[in-house]
Amino acid sequence: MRRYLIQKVLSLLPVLLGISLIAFVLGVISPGNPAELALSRGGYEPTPEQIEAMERQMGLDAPYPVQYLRWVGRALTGDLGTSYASKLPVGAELARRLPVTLKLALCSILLALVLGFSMGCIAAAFHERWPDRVIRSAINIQLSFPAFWLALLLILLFAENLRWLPTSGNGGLKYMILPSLVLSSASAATTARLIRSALLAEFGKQYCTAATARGISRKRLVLQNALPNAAVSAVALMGNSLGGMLGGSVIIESIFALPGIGSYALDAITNRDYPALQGYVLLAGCIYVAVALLVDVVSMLLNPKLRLGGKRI
Amino acid sequence: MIEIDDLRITFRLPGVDVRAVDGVSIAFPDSEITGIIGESGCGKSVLGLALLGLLPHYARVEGRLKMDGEALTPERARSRLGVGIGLIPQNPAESLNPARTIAFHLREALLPLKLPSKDVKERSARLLRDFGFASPERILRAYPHELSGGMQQRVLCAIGSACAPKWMLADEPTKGLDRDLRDQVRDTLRSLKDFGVESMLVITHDLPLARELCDNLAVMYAGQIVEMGPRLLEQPMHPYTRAFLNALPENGFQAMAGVAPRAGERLPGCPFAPRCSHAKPRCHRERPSETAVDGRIVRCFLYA
Repeated sequence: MRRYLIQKVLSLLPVLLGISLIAFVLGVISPGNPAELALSRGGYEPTPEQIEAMERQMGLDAPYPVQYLRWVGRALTGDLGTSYASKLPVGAELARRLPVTLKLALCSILLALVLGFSMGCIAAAFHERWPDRVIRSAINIQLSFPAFWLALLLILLFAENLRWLPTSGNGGLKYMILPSLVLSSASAATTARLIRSALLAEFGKQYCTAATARGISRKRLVLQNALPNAAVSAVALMGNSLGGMLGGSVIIESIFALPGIGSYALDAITNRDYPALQGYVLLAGCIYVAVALLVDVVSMLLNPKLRLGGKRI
Repeated sequence: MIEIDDLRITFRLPGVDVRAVDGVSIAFPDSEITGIIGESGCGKSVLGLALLGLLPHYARVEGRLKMDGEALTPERARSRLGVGIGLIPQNPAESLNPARTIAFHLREALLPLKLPSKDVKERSARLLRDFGFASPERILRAYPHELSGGMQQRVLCAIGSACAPKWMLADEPTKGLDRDLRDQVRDTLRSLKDFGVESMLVITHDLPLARELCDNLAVMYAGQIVEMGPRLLEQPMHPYTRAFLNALPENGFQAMAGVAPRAGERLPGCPFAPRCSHAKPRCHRERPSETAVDGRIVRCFLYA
């Protein structure tokens, strides 16, 4: 098991390297000279000599590989440069905003997990009967609804008309209900669909017939026997969904005015704030990789063959 | 006693109705081991599933099933699973849940007895010991893939007889096993009688097993039981049984002419008539009914 983990971690190193390269190249190919940009705020036009001096000071005269290594070195110590727009350090800003995004992603993933698993289990248990048909239509509707539209409709209903929940902003869990509902909707639907079809495939296997012949209840067959086997693929999907949620949270955070890293990235894009964007890409990439590792570990724990290796009694 | 009267099971598939069991009337006596033999696709496993009430929902069942004098509806059959009739499924490796320990399987098998949790563990260990495991605690903690094929088969026997059902259905218990394992399984099945199982149905196409284990044999062909009785392999009467035995390696490997009727194909006469060397014009027109001859039931005009 330890060996498997070490292998997994090692295999992720090239991915991290790739992410950092992409984030770095993003800064290099961005239009405009960073030295000029740094000097020319507030209507001031710097002279070519001043720009050249600033380039030396910022290390922009060195070859790209050297610049890359310096940049990675600084990033490892948490220094992601200074935002063009706010003149504040990007690292500190991301660190301040990260908890909001993580809270949103966590609420959404939990919601997707609970909704997806229960919908999938009910649909499979009542295969081709009315609960299955209702859930399947719900899945199709959820999948074909654009997130931003769903967000607006939910705000209209629950915040404007019923006044049960706040329209936007950051605060307690109450502020997380609508955003996470929107963000989890599509993942909940895909998870439900996957769990349903995986369960149906498990029901066809011999061990389920054998389990039924023990005289167990239908509920026990679904939850205790088939689900542990069907869940493996859903866990892998959840990992991907979390990545999608980090990307999707860019829009949701701005609709619900949540001060997370998503809305920071959106501001960075509109302001052409490349250091901020670089920082976001690097951070989001690392989170994605960490989640992938977590998913691998969970799938391994679910599968005794992987967990225990090939040992025989 | 299990009594079956004119049982017909039809699978309604898109575009075609497949009759897997076609008018079976038979009685499986108490306290005996009855073997059902026949080639793949002859309907023997479907017959077994019907007794367990585990046919898929698109199967249509006609005719009567009775167990100990009471009508055996699918609901009643399912309510007796594990308690009244146990199953030893085919393919041991695929019949155990790969994500669950052996202890989980036995706990589930013992559920109908509603034992306190302390006794469940004790009873599980005792069951495993009964089926030849020297250190049951280790096996209880194991996952199915950690056991060998023979061990998996014995675990399944322990699971099937956990609640000491009066009837046991063994579905191809020796499929894919080598000779030594096969003999082991045969002895295990014989020993089931010591653990409260009174009567057994063994579905198999392992003829040596059928000969060594069963008191009674029924031969199935194309959804019908063509012959049933004791010592059937020693003195076969129905032309199909004879041809079947001649096809065995030890009897000279004479392949049977022709092929069995396809799924969904129904002949007006005896289903074996097109392949039968004794077939007369009547055999192609009419279906022979069961005839009792010398303590045996044969479905052939030769004995009518």
